[in-house]
Amino acid sequence: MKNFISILVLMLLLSCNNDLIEPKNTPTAVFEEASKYIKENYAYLTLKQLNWTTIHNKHKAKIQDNMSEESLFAVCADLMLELKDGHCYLSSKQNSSYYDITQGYYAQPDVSSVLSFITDTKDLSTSNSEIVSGLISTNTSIGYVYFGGFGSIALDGPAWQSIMDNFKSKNVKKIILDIRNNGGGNPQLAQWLCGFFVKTPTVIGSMFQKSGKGQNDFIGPLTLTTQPRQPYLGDVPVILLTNRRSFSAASYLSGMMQALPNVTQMGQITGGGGGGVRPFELPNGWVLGVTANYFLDVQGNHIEEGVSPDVKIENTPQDFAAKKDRMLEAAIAF
Amino acid sequence: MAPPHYPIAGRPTLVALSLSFFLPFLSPAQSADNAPKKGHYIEFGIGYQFQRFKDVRHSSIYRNAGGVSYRLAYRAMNEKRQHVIGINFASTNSNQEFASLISNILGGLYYEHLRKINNHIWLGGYYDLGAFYGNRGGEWANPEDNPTWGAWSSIGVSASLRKNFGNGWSIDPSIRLPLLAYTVRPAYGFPYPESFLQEGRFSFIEEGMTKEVIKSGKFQTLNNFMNLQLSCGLHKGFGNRRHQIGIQYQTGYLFFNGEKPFADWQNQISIISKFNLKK
Repeated sequence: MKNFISILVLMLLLSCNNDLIEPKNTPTAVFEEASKYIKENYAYLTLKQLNWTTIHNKHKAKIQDNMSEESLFAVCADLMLELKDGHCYLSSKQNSSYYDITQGYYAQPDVSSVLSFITDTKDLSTSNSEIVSGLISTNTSIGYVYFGGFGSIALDGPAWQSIMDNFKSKNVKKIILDIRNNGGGNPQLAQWLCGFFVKTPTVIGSMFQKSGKGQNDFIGPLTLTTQPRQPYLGDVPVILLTNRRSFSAASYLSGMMQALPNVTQMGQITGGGGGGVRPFELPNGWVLGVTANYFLDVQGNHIEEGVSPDVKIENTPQDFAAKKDRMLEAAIAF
Repeated sequence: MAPPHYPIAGRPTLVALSLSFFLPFLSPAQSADNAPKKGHYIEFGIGYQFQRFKDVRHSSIYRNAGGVSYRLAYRAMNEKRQHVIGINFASTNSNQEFASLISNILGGLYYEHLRKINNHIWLGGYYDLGAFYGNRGGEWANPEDNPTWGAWSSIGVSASLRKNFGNGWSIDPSIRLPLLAYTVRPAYGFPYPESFLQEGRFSFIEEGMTKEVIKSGKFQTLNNFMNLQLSCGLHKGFGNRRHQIGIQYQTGYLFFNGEKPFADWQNQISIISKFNLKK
């Protein structure tokens, strides 16, 4: 019995880890945890040439342990906003802070005006995403799809399958994929969609995944390949219509489609968002999310700061007020 | 800089609590007959579980959660041996204090074999399969990196003691301690296991990833995996003392070591009933 208890005590002493020690809930501790988490997990410190020690020290100088919660939130938010990354965020129960990717751009608040351009309209929206498809009413040989997000393949895939089957059966001569104001979602769907436009497995980009705490600890490049699927529509010209609010998985689709021969991107530069977010809870219960991996297109270009269009055209606030859509008109005429 | 704060599940507390489970056996025996009645028992328990846990992957702090626990077991015993097959399950929710809200489930099934050493003590071993899963909501905007989870399959030693106090009252502390386990936890590159993050394997579509996640597990010993379970029940026999009903307190410490460790301290109080099916 004595030996057993000795072993038990020894074992209990072994099964611990210093990471399990809980930091105090003070402004200094909250700030330090936030900064440490960004330093160890953010994927773009090197790309964006961010000297994190300098940035840390600059904001650390504003921390006082008797500061209010609002002031602390402002300082931590400013720290996070140094990343200039639309995926990163800081949230408390009362407040949240995100980087505004549309700064310096005009991107219309909605694209509902497209409904006046299409006929044979099918609303295939799922619980995941808004998906509207049809034919351009002034030229019914052009197929059109607007989708507001990237849901799961399981939920959105059947809708997409029926859209592509419909385009094939109608023998469309051009397809417009409208991803303006598409805030992103599941990049799996983007990879899956590219399969309708290839005949053989095709590399559409690569990923780098953070694998450790060091600034350059990554696994990669990991090539991303799309598998062909039916119906094949790769011989039909595709116009990918984007604006600055085409973010995250929408930017992934833009980047992936750079690998496909018959695709032209028109509109505005996308909003970027080239990686996946990893959230973390700070000592006071706030949540900090940072990007922990990144995507490169087939040319090895980052998409984090946006994918530039092949043909640049933008709607103005006056166009939006007049319910005019010069971007879509240009895509139809192209 | 403020000193670090040790959680309630600190090492000194854990050691003291483990040793205290043996205290009843320092008192004089109240009854010469400490042998439980042989038979086939169905045991059922329902109670409340309080958890305090931290997943370093997701949080710098310990979170509390409380909820309902269930236990169902079949025990076959004679004068010399016991065989037990059981399942336990708990579902808990965090408080609303912080920006992220957590719902957990923790459960497992086990087989235990005990041999009688003397009138008080039964010793043996067990095999179990278990898992926990924590889902975060609230201000936790990423469904991909949402869950806290881990799974294990372990073998270990177990011991059970029993003392009768007369008039059908008895007390039965027990302990289970894993010695070797196969554990599965998210890799640094979550949601992808290392084997998935290879050239030619990686895909956003994650086909075949479930199999790779299961294969990504590691064999661990005591310093890297812990699932210590201590319990003590106070029971009263009825029905000519063939059956028992009572209250049981159980505490457990679940720990996964690694680059992003996880620790979970469970405290549970249950009403337990044991029905002897043998006439």
